[in-house]
Amino acid sequence: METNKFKLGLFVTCAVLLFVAAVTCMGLFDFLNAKAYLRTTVTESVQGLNTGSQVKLRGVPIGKITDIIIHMESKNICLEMEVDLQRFASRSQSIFSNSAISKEEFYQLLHKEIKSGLRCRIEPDGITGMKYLEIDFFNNVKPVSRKESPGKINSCTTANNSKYFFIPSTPSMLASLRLTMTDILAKIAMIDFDGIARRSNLLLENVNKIVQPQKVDKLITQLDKCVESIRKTSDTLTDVLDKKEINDTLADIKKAVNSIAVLSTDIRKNINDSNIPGTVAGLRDLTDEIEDSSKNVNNTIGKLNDAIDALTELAQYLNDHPSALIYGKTRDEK
Amino acid sequence: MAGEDQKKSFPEDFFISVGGMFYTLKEEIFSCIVFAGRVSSAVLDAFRHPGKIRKRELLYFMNLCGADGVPITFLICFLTGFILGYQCAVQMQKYGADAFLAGLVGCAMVRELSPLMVSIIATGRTGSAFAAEIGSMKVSEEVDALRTMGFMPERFLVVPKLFAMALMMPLLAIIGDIAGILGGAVIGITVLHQPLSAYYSQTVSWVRPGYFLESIIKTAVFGIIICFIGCWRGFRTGSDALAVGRSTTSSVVLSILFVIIADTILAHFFNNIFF
Repeated sequence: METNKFKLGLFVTCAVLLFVAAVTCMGLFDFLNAKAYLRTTVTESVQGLNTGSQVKLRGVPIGKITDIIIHMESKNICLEMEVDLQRFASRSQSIFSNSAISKEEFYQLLHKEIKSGLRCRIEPDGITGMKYLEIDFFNNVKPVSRKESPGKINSCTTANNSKYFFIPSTPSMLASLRLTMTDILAKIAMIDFDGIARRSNLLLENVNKIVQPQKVDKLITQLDKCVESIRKTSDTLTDVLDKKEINDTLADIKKAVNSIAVLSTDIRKNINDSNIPGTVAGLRDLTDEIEDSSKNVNNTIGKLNDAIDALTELAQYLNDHPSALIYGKTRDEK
Repeated sequence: MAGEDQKKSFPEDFFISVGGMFYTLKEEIFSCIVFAGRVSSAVLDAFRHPGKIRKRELLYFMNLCGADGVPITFLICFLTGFILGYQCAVQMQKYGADAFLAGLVGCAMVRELSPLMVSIIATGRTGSAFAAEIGSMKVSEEVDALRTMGFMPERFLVVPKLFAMALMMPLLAIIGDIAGILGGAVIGITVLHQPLSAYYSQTVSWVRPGYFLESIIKTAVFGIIICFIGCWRGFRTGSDALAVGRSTTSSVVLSILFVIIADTILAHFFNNIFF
């Protein structure tokens, strides 16, 4: 019964080292890392979200859900989460250092980001039906209405949970879709289909009353007569067109057209025979002369105006100085 | 005429068979309870007086149960992880759920398959060996001789084996866990073309440290069961030439049966209480 103690010792040592390495890798000592504690409130179902589900910030896993509490008074569900601060680099961190952000610094940063629109939302994690909590800036979504302001310790706390920092949430994509659909359905439900149907029936009844079958029959009969009349007229026209009169008429029209052609030829001949260029040149000379005469008349009228003005001035002067008729103008006035 | 007299009618024969079966069952249950009592007494005595534990035998059985079983345990667990990974990869690839392979293989191997595989290997290697060893001693009346001399044979023959199994099986399970995860990783890397770092991070995110604790506790319990049944069947060995073989066979069958039953109970226990 000899024992290979080296082999046994090697086996035990290796197995223990493997165990320690495995549990360390799997996060046994994660509790030593600095943590921040967040809480949010959702109004929708949290089906698929469990304790231990991941919390991600813009896709980066930063923590996990630690508790899910139903808050009966507000009919909300509180989600408590634990965030590993090792994931966040400190503002004062250099490239080579490895210091994590402090909890206070993280809360301040979060408060500022919440004011800028940072929210959390339940998101599906693949096709398995599992979900995770995403923290991100979601555009065009309205936050879940809550009385608490961001960062304030909210009402779904119990006794000693003042360590939690509140972060608002927004409805998930499915919840938003459901809300939209609910709104649409509510609007559709508000349409008075019964009233519309009633009014439609009434309208049809009135139409039926107005358009009685006897009247319709009469109308159809009249229409038939009208059609018959049109047909007869058409036949008559066809008969007329077949007769000789129309041929005579066409012959008269042809004669008239020929006469018009002859007349046109005569007019062209008369025009060619007349001395239109000479006449036009004479007219042009006449126009020039009339223009010259007009200018002369204008000059004459201008001179007449000047003469009238001088006479008026003379008359005025004589009126003021009648002695000027004997003595003439004085030296000074000259 | 004498042969005809010995023939029984159908109902009588049936009831005799049923009665015999239940009598045997009762005898086995009683003997099991008595054996359990004796082993418990010996274990308590060993805890009270640790110096009385036969260390040489303890080390021998630790070597037999643990170190000697490493290669076969590693190989079987690695192949189990490989097969599980391959079968799952083929199906999961259809649904685009490749990323979950690491979690599935890791959780399945650490929580269930590795403890079960290690226990089945231990049943075949160690449990049957214990039954054969004690059975042979029973056939050669060595056990009776110990009793005649006033010794408690369970203290010498069962306690070192029990301690060795309870100590070594969890260590084997750890090696089995790692081997299974490696087997799945080979498939993840070669079939699904996942980077090793991605497979590792997925495994780490899914497999919790508590799962290793579950694996350790389970295999320790299974080791005790296997050792107990192997030794019990050894002590129940008859005096004929074929008895050792029967004891060995029954120890393997019963060990696997009780390991599965214990696994069912423990799985429920761990899922509802710890995780």
